[in-house]
Order: sequence, then C-alpha cells, then structure tokens
Amino acid sequence: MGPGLPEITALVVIALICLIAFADAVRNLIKYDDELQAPIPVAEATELSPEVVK
Amino acid sequence: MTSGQIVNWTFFVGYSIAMVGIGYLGMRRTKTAEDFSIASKTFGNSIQMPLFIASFLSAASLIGFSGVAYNSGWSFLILYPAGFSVGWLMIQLMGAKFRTVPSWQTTSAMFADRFYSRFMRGWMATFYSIWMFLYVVIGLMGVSVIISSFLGVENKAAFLIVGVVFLAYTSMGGMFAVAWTNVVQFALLAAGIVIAAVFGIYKAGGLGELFNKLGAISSEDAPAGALTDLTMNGAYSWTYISGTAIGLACSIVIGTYYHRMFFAAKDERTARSFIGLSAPILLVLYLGIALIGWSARAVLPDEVGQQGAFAGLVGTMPVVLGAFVLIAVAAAVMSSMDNQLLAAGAMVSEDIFHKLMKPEASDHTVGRVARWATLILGLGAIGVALLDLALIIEFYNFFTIVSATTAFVPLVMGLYWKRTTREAGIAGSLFGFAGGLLWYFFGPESIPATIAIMPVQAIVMYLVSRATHNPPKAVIEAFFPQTPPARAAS
Repeated sequence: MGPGLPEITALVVIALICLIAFADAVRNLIKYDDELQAPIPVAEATELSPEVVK
Repeated sequence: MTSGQIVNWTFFVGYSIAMVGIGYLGMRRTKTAEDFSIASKTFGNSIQMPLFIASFLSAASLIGFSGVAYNSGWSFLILYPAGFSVGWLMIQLMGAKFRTVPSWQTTSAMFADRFYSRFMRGWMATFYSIWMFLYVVIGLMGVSVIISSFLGVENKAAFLIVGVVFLAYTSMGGMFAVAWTNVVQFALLAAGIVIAAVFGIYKAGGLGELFNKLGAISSEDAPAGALTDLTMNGAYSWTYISGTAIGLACSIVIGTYYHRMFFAAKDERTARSFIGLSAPILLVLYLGIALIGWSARAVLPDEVGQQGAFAGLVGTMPVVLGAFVLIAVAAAVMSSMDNQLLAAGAMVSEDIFHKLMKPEASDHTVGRVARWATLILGLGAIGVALLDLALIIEFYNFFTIVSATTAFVPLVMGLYWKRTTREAGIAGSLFGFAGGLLWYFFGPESIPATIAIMPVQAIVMYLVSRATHNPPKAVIEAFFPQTPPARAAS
C-alpha cells in the first residue's frame, strides 16, 4: 500500500529540478572565480605602458 | 502554568532576548537609508543562503503545509514542492536581471526603470506594500494558535508577544538585523523540522511502516490507498495540480522579499548562486515537513484534523524537544514577517516618499522615514491581527491570486523582451489585476486564475507593445546590454 512508481518518479523529477538550479549556481561560482583569477596582462600588472614592457 | 509551559517560556524568552540583541547590533551598524533597506550590498552567500531559506519557510510552511500533507498525503509533493522547485529554478536563472541597475532597493524601482514610468513606481509600490502588510497580518494570525497553546496565554496575547519581538528588531536594525537574525532562525527552524520529522517516523515505527499505515488509512475524505497516490485517486485533477504549481512558481519570481536579496548581495557571483545553492536544502526541509504531516496522520487519532496535525504531533514529544520545536515555529514566522515588513517599509520610504513625494529629501530623512514606516506598518499589522477579522483572510487570499496575475507577465516580458513598452507594462499589470479580481469572484475554482489570465495578458502586452513606440534607447541599453554585464563592468 506504499507509494508506487508515479510517486517516486515525481519525487525524483522535483529533486532533479532542484539539482539543475544547484548546478547553475555552482557554474556561476566557478565562472566568477575564474574571472577573478584570470592572469592580469603584464602591462596592467606593472602599470607600465605596453611599449615599455615589450 | 504547567511545568511544560515553564520550559516553553524559558526557551521563548531566551530566543526573544537573542533576537532583540541582534536587532540592537544591527541598529549600531545602520548609518544610511541604503543600510536600512538592503544593508548597502554587503552580503555574501553565508548570509544570503540562510536569509533566503529562513524567509521562504514561514509559519504557513511549518504548520499549514504539514497540515496539507496530513490531508493530501503524497499529492502534497506535486501541489507544493513541485511548484516551489520550478520557482527556485526560474529565479536562479533570472539572477543577473535583478542586478541590472546597481541602485535598485525595491521591486517597484525595477518596474519604474524598466517601464520608464512614475505610474508603475507608485502602483507597484502601493500594490506590493499592501500585499506584504497582509502577509504580516496573516503570519501573526496563523502562528498565534500554536504559540498561545504552548505558552498558555490567550490568542491576542500571543499576537502581541510575537509581534513586539519581531517588530523591535526589524525596526531597530533594518536589513542587517533581519539578515543576522535569519541566520540564527534558519539554524533553529531547520533543526526543529528535522527533530519533528525524525520523531514522527520513530512514532510511526519506521519509514516503511509509516507508508504502510498511510496507505491503509481509510476515511470519509480518503479511501484506502488515496494518501499514497499522487492525485489522491483522482480527487485532484491535473489542471488543478498544474495550475497550483504554476501559480506558486510565479509567486516566487515576483516575490519582492526575494528581489531584495538580489539587491543586497555584495556581488554578481553571490546574486547568481545563493538561490540554487539553497534549493536542495529547502527541498530536504520540505520533505521533512511532508514527513511531519504524514506521520501525524499515521499515528494521531482522526479527530486531530488538518489544522491540529503539527501541534498534535509536537504535543506528543518530550517536553524539551517540544519546546525546541516551538522555538522553530517562532523562528519560522518571524524570519518571514521581518523581511516582508521591511520590504513594505522600504517601498513606502524609497518609492512613495522619496521618489514620488520628496525627491530633494536627504539620505538621513529617507532613512528615518524608512524606520518609522516599518514601525507604523508593523504596529498596524498587529492591530489588524488583533481584530481577527475574517475579511482579512479573504483579502489575503485575493492578493495571493492577483499578485501572480498582476506582476509576473509584465516582469518577465519587461526583462526578456526589449520591445516591451511602458504602455504595455501598465496595460498588462492593470489587465492582470482586473482579470484576477473578476476570476476571484466569478471564475470556476477548479481552474486557477494563473492558467486562465496570464496567456491572455501576454497577448495583450504583445499587441500594445507593437502598437506603441519603442522604449527609449537608454532603457534598452541598460536592460539589454550588448556585452554580458560582468564583462562590461570589468
């Protein structure tokens, strides 16, 4: 008399929707972390003009 | 007073002192109007996640939804958590849109900027403020029953006790106080749900036994097997189920107290992650709430009924555990009402007072108006709750229906279709409000207003947009930048 396949499927689908939201959040965290850690161009990092760096 | 009530009072007084103390710390940190409204965009995920979860889980969630699970069995899952999960996904994906203009503090400012309209600012600020005010009144009315029985006081005394505590810390410390108290409230309510759910399963003799008992229940409203069937053996039509789920999902997207969290996030990284990171935790907590309702149905006598399911189960717990769950209920109700009240106070001060009435007002004046507006609205909500009018519940039900039909389609079309014009925004929101109003009084109950009204509303907005001039270039450039906002900012 317990829950059958449709009930378990509904629960799995709801969990999957939450996981998609979670995955999007994690993707954004990684994306913004990557942007923060992107190497700074040498000219910008040393505050010298590109010509001087060359 | 019984010894159990003395323990409950001890827990409750300790909790209340802690909340008001946090409110005082928030007041010391609050210097400007923006501090009071959105904590000057300083929150990372460690604050944003508990803030969102605690705000989402209200007394309605704990007491009301465990009652729905008691009454509807497994169909509770597709009536509520299904709609919520779709709503969480939608608002997670919309995160960047809510950060379009850095100075936004309110939902009505978002509508005003996108539809370049003072009318939309005033209309949306008024609409949302009334809606949030009603939310607070209903929150107070809903929680008073259980708080009064656990503390051994009259219903009206329970309104006052709960009302004074949450109003004190909210009006003192604004968004800092709301967020910091929500972190504590999140821990309390999550622990309370887990404790009550585990206790319910234990009382039922284990998870398998719980479902066996649930499936075997045969009563007037639920023949054998109905409580473990998704549609309660066809008692709920799929039109009703999908309409309810769509309505709930839409109500999350237009929730002004969720928008405020996007405005309060310290950066794009936080704004575009806190909802998704919270979603699995919220789902687990909703499953806990379902288990509380199901186990109450399986182990308590039939006379308890839907309304008494939560209190009935908690009443069978050992005294200290019961007192802890009572604090979880108090935390749940306050963590939602404080944010709703602050949202209303911010719209009254920032949109109605500052932007529409006194554009020359100083930041100091706007901050004072925000604090006073929050306090007065809160006192008004306590006063209205004390009257205990049936009419208030009717108003609340009405606003719940028309909120989705009024704001969802204009918000989504405005943010995602650049051709949407001011005239379309105004026509769409007024059409949705009027349509929701008519549906509330004359529409068939079996078909939710969201399904009937919103498709027509979208067509109306499309036609009006096509018939009117393009939005100004500045609006299109702000809302639909050629380069992604993160790149443009760097």
